[in-house]
Amino acid sequence: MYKHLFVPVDGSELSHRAMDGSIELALQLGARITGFVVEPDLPLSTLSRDGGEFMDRVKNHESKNETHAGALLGQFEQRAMTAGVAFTAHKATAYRVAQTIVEAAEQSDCDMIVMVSHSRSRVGKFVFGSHTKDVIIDSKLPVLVLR
Amino acid sequence: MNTAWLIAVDGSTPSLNAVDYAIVEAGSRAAKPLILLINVQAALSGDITRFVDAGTVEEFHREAGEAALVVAKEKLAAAGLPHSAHVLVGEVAPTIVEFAKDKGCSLIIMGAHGFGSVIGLVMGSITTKVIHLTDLPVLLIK
Repeated sequence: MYKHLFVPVDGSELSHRAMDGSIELALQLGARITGFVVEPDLPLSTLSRDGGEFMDRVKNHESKNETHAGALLGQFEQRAMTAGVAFTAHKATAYRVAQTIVEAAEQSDCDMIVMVSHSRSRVGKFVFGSHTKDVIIDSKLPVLVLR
Repeated sequence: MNTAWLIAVDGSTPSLNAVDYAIVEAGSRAAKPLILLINVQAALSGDITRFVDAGTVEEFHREAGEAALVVAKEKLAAAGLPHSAHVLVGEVAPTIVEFAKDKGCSLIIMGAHGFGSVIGLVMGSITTKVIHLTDLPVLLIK
């Protein structure tokens, strides 16, 4: 019944496991994948009194994001294609990462969100706490947490 | 190879939704997985067990656990899926994780509570602990 997996990735070591894990799962289920990258918006603290300078910063930030998201999704698509899994790339820029993930998953008609959890380390707990947990709380869709 | 899925059930609506999901998902598979329903009862405080005999305590846990499992068992029986039900006593998250490992489960399914309920806060922390403790995939259903 799971035919469309939504897989948020951020370029970390873990998100590579999310790519491989979700592709393997998609193969088993005969599902397709939507890969998703959320780039964090520029914080307001970078606002400058100099309008020109600010616009430069914004443009710089956007082009960096664009490159990063594009490269990541390209990599994901490559792996999915090699495995023979249908793949759609999707990206967004937002302040609120978890909420954006949940909304994007619901809008793209996915039936499950696949994420990877961190190890038991303190740092891992902290990072896990920040996004995966918020997604679990916000999402009406089932969330599969892989290790 | 026959796989086994563990569903942690506390009798709440999300945990029963998890059972419903498992039924649909298992039903769509050629090889039906064995479904292990478990309910974990938190051990009673020593202040109680010191004054009540072990048999009574065990009876109490068993009754409470079976009451939590009864609807889930009925659902699985109605769906005609192979299943077993277990009541365990101990610290909830580690008990779920160890049981899943011992029984060679390939997946842990749990209900995820929303924000804003007291149960949600408690359950949410159990879900979080399970995710941290286990190496198995964890499927969370609202």
